[in-house]
Amino acid sequence: MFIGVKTKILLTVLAIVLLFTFFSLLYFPSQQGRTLLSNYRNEVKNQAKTIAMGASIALSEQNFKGIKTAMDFVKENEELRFVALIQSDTQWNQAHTAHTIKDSVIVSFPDDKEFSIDLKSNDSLIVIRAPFRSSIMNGDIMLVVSTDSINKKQKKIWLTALLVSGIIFLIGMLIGLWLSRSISHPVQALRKAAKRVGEGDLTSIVENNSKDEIGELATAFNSMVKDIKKLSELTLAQEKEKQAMLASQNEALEKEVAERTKELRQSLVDLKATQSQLIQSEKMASLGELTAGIAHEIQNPLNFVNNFSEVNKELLDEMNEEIDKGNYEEVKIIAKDVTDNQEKINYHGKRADAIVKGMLQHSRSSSGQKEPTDINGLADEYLRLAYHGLRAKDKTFNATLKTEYDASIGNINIIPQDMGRVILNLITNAFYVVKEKKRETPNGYEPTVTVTTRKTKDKIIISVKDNGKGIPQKIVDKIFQPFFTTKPTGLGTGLGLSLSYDIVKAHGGELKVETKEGEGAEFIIILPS
Amino acid sequence: MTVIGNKNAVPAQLTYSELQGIFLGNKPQWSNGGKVIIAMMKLNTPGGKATCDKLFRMTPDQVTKHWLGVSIKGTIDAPVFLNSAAEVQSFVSANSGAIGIINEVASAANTKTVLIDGKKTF
Repeated sequence: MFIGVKTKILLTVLAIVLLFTFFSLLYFPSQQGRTLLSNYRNEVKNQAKTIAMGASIALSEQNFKGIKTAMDFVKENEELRFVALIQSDTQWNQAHTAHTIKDSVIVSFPDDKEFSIDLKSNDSLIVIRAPFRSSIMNGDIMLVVSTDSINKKQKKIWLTALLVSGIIFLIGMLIGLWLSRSISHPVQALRKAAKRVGEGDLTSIVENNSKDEIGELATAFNSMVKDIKKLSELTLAQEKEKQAMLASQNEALEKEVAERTKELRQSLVDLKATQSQLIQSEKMASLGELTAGIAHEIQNPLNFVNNFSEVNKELLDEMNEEIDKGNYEEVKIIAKDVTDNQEKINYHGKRADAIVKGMLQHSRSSSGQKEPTDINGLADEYLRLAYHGLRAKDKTFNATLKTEYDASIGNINIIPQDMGRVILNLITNAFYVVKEKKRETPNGYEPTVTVTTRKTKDKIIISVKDNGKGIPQKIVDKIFQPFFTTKPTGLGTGLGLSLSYDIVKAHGGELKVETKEGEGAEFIIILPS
Repeated sequence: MTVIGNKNAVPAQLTYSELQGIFLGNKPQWSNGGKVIIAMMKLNTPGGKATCDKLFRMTPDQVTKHWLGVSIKGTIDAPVFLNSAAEVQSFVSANSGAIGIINEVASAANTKTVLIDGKKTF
């Protein structure tokens, strides 16, 4: 809740005035009333004592002057209700063993006043009993006066206090109003001016001619506004200068950025071209791996074709000789051999044709369409092609090939060209590492590559395992990165595993490696079934 | 007992009951308007005791109590108690309207013997 200075000052003055009023209206009159009553009571008590003393003297010396004087004085008191002489008599029982004190009124003034001997002081009466002793009698002077005059005086005090309090309250409030006006108005003017300055109006000046602290504050405020104005103008000029400088720098920077962007774009184009070339190189490398295998596969039937063709040529020459000899029985036998050989030539020619067609099919660009594929056949075919390809290059290389295909897999939906490339890549790598290890440890080491397929509840798992040197732990995380290779320059692009990883991912699968350094590695393709 | 009075204001004779009334404080002023002033010997003197006996027919203490009560009421001044008959005569002589009672016959200037029921003594 916001409480302004004006309200605070008024509340403060009001609190002070109310406090003062409380004392002047309640506390002081109350105290004065009590004092008055106490004094009056003492006065009455003294009068009663004087009468009692006079009574004692009168009773003992037959001198009644004192009591007369006292009585004259008491009678002058307008508040006197009555004065009584009370005798206290000791009354014994018949056996004279116990006694009681009995009070009886001897005389009272005015004598027509009826009262109780046991009357006590109250708000309207003061009752004083002053004892006296003499040889004749003992008793009390009972003096009873009214408190009317005291009450009247108290009322007068109250009225006076009320009047004084009212005047003080009025004066206090006037002072409070004046104070709040003289303080809050300049403060409010300062607040408004400060608000205007805060909103950016640096022409705000506070008019104040007072010589007090507020006047000094106003002067200091005006001085501050002037300083702020100067500073603001200076800052504005500097800001403009900076902005101009910044604009110039921005322009230069934009030019530089544009040039750099142009260069980067060119670099990107070059990079993409390089990447395409590298991918093509990888493909060509794969093709190279295949070519040797293909050549080996085709060479075998071609040998048969060539050999049987040579044999047929010789048989036909022999058959012509037999015809010239007229030995037709022999001619028929030779003709039959020629026919048999021709069938063999035909069989092996068709075999070569099938191999070439198969290769052509694999060498076609990927259609990007998944089709039901015998993954076991695909894996086995690429295992053989890779092995024979390597053997074609290096006749000394030998390795044990182990396969374990899960026949329950059947056909699965894959892009055969892409998945074939992955399997070929893994197998080629496996042969490479076992060959390297064999080269380093020629004795006691049997290179072995194992290809297995397995079906689980919802996955197809294809594993290519070798017993090479394994992959060092420090590079395991990098082998699937593009262009990372451990092969010597010219023997690997570093894209094989990267592309394989992407292809498996594109099939919704996973390609991972498990390796133990010195013992080999197992690459595992996990595909959804 | 002899009753004496100041020559001024005090009547020459009184009845016994009038005298009793005066000395019991029942008469504040004389017929001429003068103030009644009572003088008697202290009650512990033979004259005082005789006065209690002959006039008030009360004991001295009873008389004292009576006058204490009268003093409290303030209707009349209490008697002036003096030590001897001579002092009573002297006081009566000196105060106009004064009346006193003594137990001997004496005379003093400006006083007179007040007859009680026609007698000088009672």
